[in-house]
Amino acid sequence: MSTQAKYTVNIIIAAAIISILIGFAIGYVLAPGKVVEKEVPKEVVKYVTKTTVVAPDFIVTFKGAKEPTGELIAYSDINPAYYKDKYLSALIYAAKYESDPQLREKLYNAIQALSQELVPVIWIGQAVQILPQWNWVHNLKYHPLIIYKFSEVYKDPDSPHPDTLIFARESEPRSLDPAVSYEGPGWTVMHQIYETLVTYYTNETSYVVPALAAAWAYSPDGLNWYFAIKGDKVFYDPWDNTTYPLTAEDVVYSIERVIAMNQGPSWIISQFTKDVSVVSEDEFKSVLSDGLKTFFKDKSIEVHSLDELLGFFGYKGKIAGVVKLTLKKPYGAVLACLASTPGSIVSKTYVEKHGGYKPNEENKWMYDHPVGTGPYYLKEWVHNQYVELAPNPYYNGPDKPKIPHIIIKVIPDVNSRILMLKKGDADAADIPRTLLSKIKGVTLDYNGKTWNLQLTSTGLSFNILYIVPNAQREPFNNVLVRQALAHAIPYNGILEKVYNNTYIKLNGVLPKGMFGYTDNVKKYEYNITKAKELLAKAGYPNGLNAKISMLVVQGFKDWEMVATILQQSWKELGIDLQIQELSWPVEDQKIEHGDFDIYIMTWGPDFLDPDDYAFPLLTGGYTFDEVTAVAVKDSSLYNITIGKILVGGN
Amino acid sequence: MGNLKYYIARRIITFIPTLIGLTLLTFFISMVIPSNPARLWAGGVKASPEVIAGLKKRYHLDEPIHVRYYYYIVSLFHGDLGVSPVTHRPIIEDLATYFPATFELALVSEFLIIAIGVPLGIISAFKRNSVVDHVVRIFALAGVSMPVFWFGLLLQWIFYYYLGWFPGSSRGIRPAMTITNMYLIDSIICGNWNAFIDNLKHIILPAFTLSFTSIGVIARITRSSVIEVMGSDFVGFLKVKGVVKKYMVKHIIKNSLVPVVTVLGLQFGGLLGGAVITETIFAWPGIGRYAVQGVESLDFPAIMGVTVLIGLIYVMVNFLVDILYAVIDPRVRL
Repeated sequence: MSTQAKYTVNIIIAAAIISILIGFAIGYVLAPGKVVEKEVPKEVVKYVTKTTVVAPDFIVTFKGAKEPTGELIAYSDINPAYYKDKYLSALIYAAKYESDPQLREKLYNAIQALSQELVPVIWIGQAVQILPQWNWVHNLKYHPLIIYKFSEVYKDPDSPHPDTLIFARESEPRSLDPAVSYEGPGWTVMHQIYETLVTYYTNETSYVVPALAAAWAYSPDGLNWYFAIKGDKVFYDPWDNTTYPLTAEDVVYSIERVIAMNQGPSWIISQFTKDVSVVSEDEFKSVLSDGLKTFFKDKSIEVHSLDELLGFFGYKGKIAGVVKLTLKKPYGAVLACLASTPGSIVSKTYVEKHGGYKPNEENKWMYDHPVGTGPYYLKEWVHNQYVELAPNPYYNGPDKPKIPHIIIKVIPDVNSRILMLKKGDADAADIPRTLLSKIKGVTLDYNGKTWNLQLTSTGLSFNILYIVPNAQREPFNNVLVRQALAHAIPYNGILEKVYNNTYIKLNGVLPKGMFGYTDNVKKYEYNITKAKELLAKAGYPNGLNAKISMLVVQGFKDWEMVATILQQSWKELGIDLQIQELSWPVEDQKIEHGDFDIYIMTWGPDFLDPDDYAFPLLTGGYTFDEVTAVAVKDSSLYNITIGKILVGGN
Repeated sequence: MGNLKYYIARRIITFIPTLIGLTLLTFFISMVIPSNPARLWAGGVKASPEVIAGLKKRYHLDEPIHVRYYYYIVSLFHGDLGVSPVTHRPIIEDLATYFPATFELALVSEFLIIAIGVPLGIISAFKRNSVVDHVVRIFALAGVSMPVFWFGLLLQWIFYYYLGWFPGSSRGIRPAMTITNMYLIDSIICGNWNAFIDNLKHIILPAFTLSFTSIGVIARITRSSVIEVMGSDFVGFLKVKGVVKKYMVKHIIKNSLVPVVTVLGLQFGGLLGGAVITETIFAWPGIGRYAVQGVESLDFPAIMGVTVLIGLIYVMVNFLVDILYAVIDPRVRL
């Protein structure tokens, strides 16, 4: 070989050896450390032992606690951090199964306090909904579950296309069958067409109001719920141009259907439903005479007659039957779940005309032929182009539409949406928070007036942003370390710089406005000194000196920015944070099985009940034979010194 | 012409193994990727175990690969591409909705490419090194270097937002009868002149965005092909014979078409594959976007459906180009 060739070969060999060594080095550094179960520290015990606490508001006892074993799926069997806490789990189950709203509220207050005390998940922010819209649009407000109520919206008569509301969104509904669709765009449209047994006022998130149900009541053991169905409602079928009256049969059919079809959102209804049936008025009256409980807003009473029940709800009309819902176990979120889209009531007559339902199968007709009792009906759906809604001529509810044409346009590119909005061709559009600065101060001259594009808040969202440290890995298995990390997050910086103040600080698992939310919790402020003190207490006086990999889903610009900010501030705690961007399916694989160090995520409500947050985000994987919560009436019976919760059992 | 028939027959026979190979390849590649699509289909982190189990059963996700391939091929022969777990529609319907939009866009783009690119190429060949030639050269370079998304956004900004001459996105008015689902053609069939004009206005910007790169390329290829033919022996012979210029030009152009047709055919095949970026920017509901959305949501049935369709298209287009070759140039039929 020539010297040139020899030289090249040597270089190649050297490069190969160096690469192999580097490969080994990387592998060694990235390999996860061994898992060590650290003892639950004393501060937590203060809250939850049998012996120490003073004048509790209530006592939670459990029997037959089973340790979490085997393959645990995050968000389903256990919280995403894989944090195993028996007492917290018992508290969550107690709150889940409690039917009395007053007691439930106290239980969730306690869960929120603990979620801040123990920080298995580090809570960062709660979204404020901003829907950029022109100021010729009025009443387009946001609700965390209903999303938008187009029936309340109206436009100024001298605005562009005053009879039509054009809303530019990124994607289209995947289905308009309430038993199938499990995504925002679909739910938004269906809330205009279908109605549920109970619903929420636009600006109200903590209690439901009657919708298709005139009244509700439940048996004292919490296992049977009764719904009196309003007698003057009709379904409008625009394809056959006919109507079908609403009866209790339809309600039973709708619930059986969504459970049997077993699609995405079915669990919301099937999780608590054992049986559903129509009961005759006479049978209902006889059950009532034994006494049923009911509540509305913050008033709870016991009723003994149909008149008393209807009177409590102020309903004077006829009823079209009574539905009895038997639960598997008492459940506190029944009404909240029934208010969500899978609780939409369909017409039995109509669905049976078009194929009925089969277990585990979808119905092709129902996919794009929704027939409901709501203020709008589906006029046209051109796929990936637009959805057009028109007022239901037979709607007789309180939310009569004011705008005759609603067009939801599908414009996937955000720049196109911005241009469309700026030009006035769209009245409102979904624009990501990171781009809101692009449309600040935009005006339009039309019909001799100057109009302004508004970026004001349309309401608090229940979407929350949080960080999940893997509690099964060092150093996150130590609560003091997690608290230190929580003190080392520049919350104001993140809320301001990343989110343009369209997020507020989140203090605990429950978002503000959620039933059970309390402000009376431990709060974490950015305080590096405090963080370092906590680390020293935890046994890391010289910082953590750890290399940690943070997972971020590709394409979420704001998460990337948050991760970068954390990378900077956590350096002071001796953390070398590596940001790893992954596609959603790949990241999902990892977080589903606990194969991560730490990651950023958001969570949104499927129904407006704290159980939809507390259970998936905090449950410790424990199961129990029995959990009960009891309000304490006479605290002198207990010999105790600190705290407000008493949780104990075996 | 007898040779032509055998030629065509031979080409058709190569279709089948190509398609089988294509489906096999895509199928097995998609199976190798580690992922749990059922969980994603069922709602991601909120997915309930019962729903996931139901989906796994419906789509045979837990069965061995060869069994799943068997199910797939069997349904394929029945013309059933399956139902998408993400869009909840039969794949055939999804393709029937989105492919015509892409086809229409591709047709108009191809028309622009041929109508602008070929004449420019011919002119610059005949007027070599003139001002026109240089302008075309710069034009071609610009077309190839400019990123499609930037060009598309630029057009949208200038012609929609600033000047307001054309609409910024989506398709136009849907004609009363959608037989081909290509709105331009359907509006002619319906006799709806308004719809036709409206759809023309909507398709101009995306079509131009899509064709811009290719116009430059075609202009250059036409140019070099014409120049090559101009320097060939038979042209020299025609010159010596003293043939009229118009007659000579006609012969030069005819002979230089073969490479141009090849590239046009391949370009058209590429256009039919769906131009994701253009479709996204202009909210054009085509196959490109459908395919990308399928990949993002792990919609395997949709991905397979689109692959089979696009594979079929490419094979067809290549086939047609080969036939066209053989028609134009008898020497090819050997």
